[in-house]
Amino acid sequence: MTDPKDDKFTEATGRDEIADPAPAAPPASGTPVATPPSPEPAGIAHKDAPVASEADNGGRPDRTGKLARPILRVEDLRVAFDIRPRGAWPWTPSKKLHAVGGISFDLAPGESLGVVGESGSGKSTLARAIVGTIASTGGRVMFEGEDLAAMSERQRRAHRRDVQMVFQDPLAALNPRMTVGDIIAEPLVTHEPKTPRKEVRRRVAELMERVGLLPNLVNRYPHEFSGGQCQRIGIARALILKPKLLICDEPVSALDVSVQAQVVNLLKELQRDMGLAMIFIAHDLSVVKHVSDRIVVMYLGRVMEVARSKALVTNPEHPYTQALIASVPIPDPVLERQRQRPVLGGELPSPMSPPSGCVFRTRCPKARPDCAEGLPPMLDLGNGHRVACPYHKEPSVLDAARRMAG
Amino acid sequence: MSLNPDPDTADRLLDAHAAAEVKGRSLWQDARTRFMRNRAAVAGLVALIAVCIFAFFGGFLAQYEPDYVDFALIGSNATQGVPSLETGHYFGTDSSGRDLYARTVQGTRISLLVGIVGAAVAVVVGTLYGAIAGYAGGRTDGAMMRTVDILMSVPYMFVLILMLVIFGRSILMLFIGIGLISWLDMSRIARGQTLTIKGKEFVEAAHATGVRPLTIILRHIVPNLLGLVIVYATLLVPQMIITESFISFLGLGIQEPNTSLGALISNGASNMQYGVIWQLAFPLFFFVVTLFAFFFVGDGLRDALDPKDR
Repeated sequence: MTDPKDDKFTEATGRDEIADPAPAAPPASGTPVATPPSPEPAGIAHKDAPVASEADNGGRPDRTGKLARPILRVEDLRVAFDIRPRGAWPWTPSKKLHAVGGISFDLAPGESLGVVGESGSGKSTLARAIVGTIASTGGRVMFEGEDLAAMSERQRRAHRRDVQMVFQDPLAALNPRMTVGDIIAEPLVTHEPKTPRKEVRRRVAELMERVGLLPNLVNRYPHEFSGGQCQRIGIARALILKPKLLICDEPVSALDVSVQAQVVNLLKELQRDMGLAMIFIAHDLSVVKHVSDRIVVMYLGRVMEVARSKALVTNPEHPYTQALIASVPIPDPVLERQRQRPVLGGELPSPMSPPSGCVFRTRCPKARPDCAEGLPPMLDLGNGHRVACPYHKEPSVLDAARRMAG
Repeated sequence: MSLNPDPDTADRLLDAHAAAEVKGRSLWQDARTRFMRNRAAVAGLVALIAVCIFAFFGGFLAQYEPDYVDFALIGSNATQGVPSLETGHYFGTDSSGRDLYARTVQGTRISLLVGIVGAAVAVVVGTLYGAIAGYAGGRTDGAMMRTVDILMSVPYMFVLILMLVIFGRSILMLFIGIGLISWLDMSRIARGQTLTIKGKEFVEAAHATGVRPLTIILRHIVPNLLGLVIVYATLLVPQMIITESFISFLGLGIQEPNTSLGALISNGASNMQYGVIWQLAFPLFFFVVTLFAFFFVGDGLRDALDPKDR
């Protein structure tokens, strides 16, 4: 191993530990809602600049919302959990909790799709239903044109190599009794059991370098790493088989803000280099916007709005999206204090008994009596922008906020 | 190597680049360090090792075979069979004029074997059974655990005694009988712990990657169960020894010329009014030392493997 290379790795792994004391100076940005999650370390921001411009200008197959051949097609996906009331008789029928209630979208190869929504909106359940660790109760998940639910157990298992997942809690996602090398190698050993040990070690080392970990740490155990490093291990494990689709379930929520930026940029970089399709789930709109080509906004298991990320952030149509965007903090204390927030009243309704009609109507500032009548249709506004609200043209709740922000 | 960013560590970290791979410190190694700091546990371990050496190699020091009967001594045990170095009867003789030292070595060995075999059956069968039931969940879990409940509700001592009476008294029968009952508790413990581990994300990650269920159980669940299982097993060994001793005490366990600590204690207890207290004292000493050593080691292991649970 050569010296300059080594220095680079030291920097990469050392970063997580020294990141904390970095001052959180607000970036001098004029657009309040579109700020990146944190000031990025200089080296990363520099590396990242070409990525951002490429993502904006094209290079992705779908700029128009029309997909040539989606790698993943989700059709009317539903997931319901059986809930047994406490102390019920064995013959009492269990109640249904509708975590995901009919979601459809397409994902093109190499595309990155963001999913946002507050806690309990069914984001993680959606991810798990696609990965197949939770059984769906309706609809279809088509991966490269094949229905995953219709497959035999064996075919399904073979298919799992193409869809990998990165988890929310970096440490809990790693087996504490296994070494990092074994953890990263597990998917490879599972799907290609005949790979020689030497080859496995080589690929693990290669990937550890790629995600910014020192390859000589293979024999360490997860508890010896920081949160950011653990997440890098999780990412390395997800990528060792060169999957086609990567599902990130709130990969940065458990991390320190400055480490978040590193991990998000790493994911972006890897996605570009490996041509991965990615589903990126988060409740932080600013992070999702930074990563995604398109964004899906979910509320109580339903899609409220789908649009390209720029269009969604600058021109949200659905009242819920507008409220979400208005709640993104502005990293400027003066502006932040002056801003009038269209605060959403109330709580997320129970998914055991969702409101009739539009699920958002109980908290919607524009709600009318007929919102309770039936499910609002998905209106296509062109350019891939779809919104589930017939009254989206009404004066925006965001107007006030936008005026304040200039 | 710790992760403290002191300059010394940083230097070593840089050196480590040149060196091939850094060896990590596993949770097992951490536990060993904690265990070694626990004086009572280490003392227990030393005592246990000493007892094992006594049981397996003490026979070489014996001057007599355990089944050699010295007819000259029968009837004059209290005066002639006294423990002494000169006669070669270090622990004296028993009521039939056999060398008690050789008998105690043999008895300790058999008692340890019974305890260890019982615990081993519990560890292997109980852990796998519990882990499979817990991981499978649903109806399989229900059926498997209700079976355990039913087996547990059977009065095992009664069944064991019946078995020994019907099939004849032999060491094999004793092992089978003790093995049959020892895994029940273990399977319950393992199943409960599996339910906790099953919900962890690393198990989900393995499932999502396409690892087979049996591999998940063996690779991800069982290693994480082992801490608890080992602690329970060390506490189970003395329990098994006590069970065996009790059965032997009743006269149903080990058959002559074999013996166990329980049988020796039973013999000693029935003769103690004739001034041959050593017949009770020596076996009892090894019995108590073994049990205490196991309890201390088990306690130390629990503290070492479960640092949060103190």
